Amino acid sequence: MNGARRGKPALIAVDGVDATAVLAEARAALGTPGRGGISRWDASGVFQDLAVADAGAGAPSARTLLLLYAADLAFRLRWEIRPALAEGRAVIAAPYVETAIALGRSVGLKAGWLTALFRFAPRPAERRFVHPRHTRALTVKDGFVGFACDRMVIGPGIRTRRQITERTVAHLRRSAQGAIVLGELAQLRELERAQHEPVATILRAVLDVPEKWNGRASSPPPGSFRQPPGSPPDRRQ
Amino acid sequence: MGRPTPATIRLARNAARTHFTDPSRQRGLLVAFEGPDGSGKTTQRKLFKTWLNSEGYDVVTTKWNSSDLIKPIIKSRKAVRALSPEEFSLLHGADFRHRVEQVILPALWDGKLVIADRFLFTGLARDVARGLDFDWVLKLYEPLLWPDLVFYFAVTPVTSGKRVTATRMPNFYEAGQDVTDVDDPAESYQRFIARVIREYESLALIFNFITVDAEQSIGDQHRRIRELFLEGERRPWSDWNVDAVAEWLALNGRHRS
Repeated sequence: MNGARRGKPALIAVDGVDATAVLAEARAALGTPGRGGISRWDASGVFQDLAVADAGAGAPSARTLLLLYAADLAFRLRWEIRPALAEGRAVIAAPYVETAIALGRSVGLKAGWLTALFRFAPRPAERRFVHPRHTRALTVKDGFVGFACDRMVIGPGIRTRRQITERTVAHLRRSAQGAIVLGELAQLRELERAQHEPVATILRAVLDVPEKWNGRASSPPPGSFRQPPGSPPDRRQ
Repeated sequence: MGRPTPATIRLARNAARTHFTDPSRQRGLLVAFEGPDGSGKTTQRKLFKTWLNSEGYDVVTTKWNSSDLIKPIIKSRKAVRALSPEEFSLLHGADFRHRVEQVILPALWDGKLVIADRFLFTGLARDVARGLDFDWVLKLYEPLLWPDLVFYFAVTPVTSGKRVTATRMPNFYEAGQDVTDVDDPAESYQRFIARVIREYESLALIFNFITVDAEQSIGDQHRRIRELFLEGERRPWSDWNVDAVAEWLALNGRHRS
């Protein structure tokens, strides 16, 4: 990345289980290539090395794979993401932290451990989620989730690839709901179309909005739209 | 279905407790040897293993950064000096976790005595000496597996430096050149190992290590280790380890057996 076009630096995270769809969304988020670049998983080659490792070395657990994902992310932050931000460029991290956390949750790892593991990763300015169609998600073989499902130890009769992928998608959907309140209305509408669920229903669940508000009113309830849960109350009235 | 249910976790925890507290079974023991480079712990580990074998113990040894899966990844990146402190820490954490699951816990489950030539405390001491946050590094090693005994071989930074540089020049990461910005490996090592030893001394207090004066003769140290081992050998199983064992049992479906 060179410094030809400088602007407002921004880190945008795009997460999802389907690597092809995530990359397409990352390209869309980037817009013009001169604006910045896309940081993809395994930039450090750790997983490429793992893929050619001797089978006798034993399959890694999900926990081991997540430690390696974190090491790869540290590499991406050092060589791709932070330098680009320092140049005033946009960086699309695809995938970023949420995909890894969702995978960890899907196999039963504690949220506290996963959150602490990725504590070194800066909060993105914007989070986008790519939710695949149900049938597509179950056949995902590329990307980090697909790689993990192929390689990691899965207890006999405990979990299947299908179950892990389904659960990872479910966790990502929950994370996405948290992101909605930080996003723009257009993104909410995109999400509405992707999830086949009215925005009002999603927002009610996230913000505990009264039932009478249907999402079509000229102005949303005070403090509900632009502020994340836990923000101080709106005192502008 | 897919995710471990509370019932699965409870089952695995109960299986772990039952197995390791069964008085009719030879319980696996985990003994860790810790200390800075040049403290003589590898010499003592070998003497200790020979003695244990002669006493009829079934001994398994595991060394730091030795997993067949992760070691080649770390080695290739060390060779080109491509690791930041975070990457260094995370990759060593992955190597440790893989050995815990593949070597240490299976051996302990089978009632063997595991000698760890360096344990997670090495990662803690080195990573914190590199400037990383103690709590974050400790978190990487969860669920924690505590050894039955930790022998800490205490030497001064000067002794460590003399012993290491007597036969070879420390490598880039061993000398801490990634964080000291000192070009001379010997000088960098001296500065870095002083920090590492300071961290070790804190850990020795926090985690109740058995400190061995590594400035003594090899024979005296070995005799002392035998005595201390015999005193501590019959300690009860530490319930702190139940989460680590339960996770491994569930991973392998062994909690059902």
